[in-house]
Parts: sequence; C-alpha cells; structure tokens
Amino acid sequence: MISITADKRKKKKGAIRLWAVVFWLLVWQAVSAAIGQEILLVSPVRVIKRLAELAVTGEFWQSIGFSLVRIAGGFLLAAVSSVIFAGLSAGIRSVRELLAPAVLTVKAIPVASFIILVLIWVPSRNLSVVISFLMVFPVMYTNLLKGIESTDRNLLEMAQVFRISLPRRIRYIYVSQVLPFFRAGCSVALGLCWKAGIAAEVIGIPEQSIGEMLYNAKIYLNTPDLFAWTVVIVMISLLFEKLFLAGIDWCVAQLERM
Amino acid sequence: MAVKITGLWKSYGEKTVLQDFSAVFEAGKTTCLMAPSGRGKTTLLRILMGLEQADRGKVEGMEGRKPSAVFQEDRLCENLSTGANIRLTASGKNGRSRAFQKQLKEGLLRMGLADCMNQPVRELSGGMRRRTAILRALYADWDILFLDEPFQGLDMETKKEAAAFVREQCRGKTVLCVTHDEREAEMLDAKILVL
Repeated sequence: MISITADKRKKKKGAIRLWAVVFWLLVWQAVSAAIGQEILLVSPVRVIKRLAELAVTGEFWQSIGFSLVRIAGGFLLAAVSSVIFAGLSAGIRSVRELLAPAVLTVKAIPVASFIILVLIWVPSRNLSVVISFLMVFPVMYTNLLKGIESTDRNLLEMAQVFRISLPRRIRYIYVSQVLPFFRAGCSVALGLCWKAGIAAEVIGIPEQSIGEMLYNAKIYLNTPDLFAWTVVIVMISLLFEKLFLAGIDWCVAQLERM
Repeated sequence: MAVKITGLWKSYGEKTVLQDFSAVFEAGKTTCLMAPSGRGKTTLLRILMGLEQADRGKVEGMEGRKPSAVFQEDRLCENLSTGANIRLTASGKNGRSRAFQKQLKEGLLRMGLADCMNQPVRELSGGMRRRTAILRALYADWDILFLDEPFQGLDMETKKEAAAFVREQCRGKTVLCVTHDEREAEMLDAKILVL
C-alpha cells in the first residue's frame, strides 16, 4: 500500500502538466510576436496551421512512412541482435571479449562520422536503418549484459538444484530479471535512434524522407516547415516509444499471469 | 541408498568451516543436523546439493539422485504467483496435470495458503513466503530433500502445522535438515546429529 502511494506521488512529480505546456507555448508566441520575423522564430499558431496544411497531403504521410519504417526497422534489428549477442556474451567469455572493443568504438565515434562513412557503403535510402542500428545496439547490448550479470545468483542456484530446464530458466528467471534493464535500454535508445536517424536523412537526403523535408526547409529558409516537421518527429518518436514500452509491459503482465 | 560422507574439508580463505567431517545419513530417514552458527551446516548442504566443491573428502550416495531443497532464503520468483512458483519446479507436464492441481490445492490448504494460489509472492508475508518455499520443495520431483532452517520466521502454531505436513510428505524418504532448534527435530521425528 505504501509503495503504491509512493509510486503515484512519484508519477505526479515527474508528469508533464498541461499548465506548464501552455505557459511555454505562450512564451513562444510572445517572443515570436516581439521579434516579428517569421524567418527567425515562427509562432506556434503558424506552426499548427502549417502542420494542418501538410497533413492533408499524401507526400506528408509518405515521408512519415518512409522514415518510420527505416528508423523503427533499424531499432528492432538492433534490439533483437542485442538480445542474441548479450546472451552469447554472458555465456561465452570470448564472444564478450571480441565484442567489447567494437561496442566501445561504436559508442565513442561521433554519429556524423558514421553517417558520412556509411553513406559511402550503402545507398542513402537505407542509411537511416544502419545509423539507427548503430546508435541502438551498444546501448541495448550494454544494458542487457548488465541485466543478465545482475540476475539473482540465489535463483540460479535454486534452478540448478531443482534441475529447471534452460528454456524455463530463461522464461521465468532471466526474462523477469533482465526485462527492467531491457525496458530502460529501450527508453534511452528509442530517443537516440530518432535523433540519429533523422540526422542521417538530412545528410544523405533520401527522396521522400522526413530528412529531405527538413533539408528543403533549411535551403529555402522555410522556418514554418522546419518547425512543423520537427513537431512531427517529436510526436512520432514519443508515440513509438509509448507503444513499444506498453508492448513490453504487456509482455511482463502475461509472464506474471503464467 | 544412504549418503556417506568421509573426511570432508572445506575452507574459505583462512577460515575452515568443515574439518574432517564424516557421517552417514540413512536412506528413508530424516536426520537433523545441529550445531552452533558458523560450523559449516549450510556449507555441508551446499556440497551435497552440488553447489560447492569440498577441498578434500568423499561423498558417496549422491550420484544420480534428484535433490530438492528449502534454502535458508526463500528464493522465490517475485513476479510469479504462489501456484506458479510451486509449479515451476514440478517436472514438465506434471505441473499442469489435473492430479497435480488437486494435490497443490490440498497442500496450499494444509499450509494455510488456500487463498494465495494466484497471488504474486511479492505480496505475501514472510511466513507465507516461507511456507510457499516449503511446498515448492515438497512438490518437486525428488528423492533426497535438504532443509536449511526450514521453519525460520514461523510462529509456533504454524511451525507445528508445517512440520506435520512435511513429516507426512517425507515418510520413507531421505531428508537432511539443518536447524538450531531441538523442538523442530522432534516435530519432524528426526534423528539428531550434532556437528
């Protein structure tokens, strides 16, 4: 009971309040009106209007679909690979040693360097898949490995004594112990993959991508478009994160029902 | 088959916890091992369960045996229900069979856990969790049972009921129990061995 109340209070503390959002929108509107030049700072009202104009065009939804499929694809590919490789690394020391420098290097290299390098290797259409993968994999892999390593030793000994089969150990012991780490990794990686994926598209300029729209907005100094597309990216990123994390929570609930 | 231990030694760094220990645990009987703290009772159980290696000595009669245990800690899967924790160690299909479900319900009733079948163990009290751990050990597929202070945290009344159920379930089987309390040995109708 105490923990539930504490959780609610915690949730309230961290939650984004509507009044705070309205406050910052009003500040934005006021500053934009004070500057009086749309090219420097467009007003939120103008952004909403532009967004409404874009939303009725087929090109808008096509661009969203193009980027969503590739960035989400890269993310999912990295999530699955990180599960496999973290599992292998936890069990086989040499795999872990082999991957350690590679993961560290990918973490340390600036995303812009990767984008330019990968652009030489793969067509710009698929650039965001690779970049999204490269941003997500090290985060997820490191988190999962940490999760597997911190699995309760007492439970593993219990499983050993009772001769619980490996599939059941994975399902009922490892998964439940590692899921919080997986969830935390996803939460961080989802934000990263959208930022890096769109940055890759802006540099690679694949046709009909959100990145191309941002690039065009930059060339033509079309600030309303720049803001409108930025809002779209933030919305998709948040929606994707919420849906994915809700999916994980659903899996946890199913597991607990057993 | 009896479990025969000859000249067992075990040290952790400078500290020797088992020093030339020898004993025979009779087959089909319950033996209570009693000793003050730090004399290697838990270490001995861990060696017999295959969780530790002895430094020296010989253990006979454990080959191919199916152990079960109530550990010093409950070692339950927090996110699973009471029923699921018990089913987890029941072998394969058996855990899902109608006969096992019936047996499980009876066991839960006897241990005062009748309403807890579908309740996550993280919501249970310390005593209820302990009884869940005991039931899990009893309903696993085993032929030798290790009990490491199995009734700790239970009040006298509950302890008596739990011990009576354990005694019933373990009749004719080999059980090795570690305890500080002589009364627990009496409740289990066990032979006492002082370490």
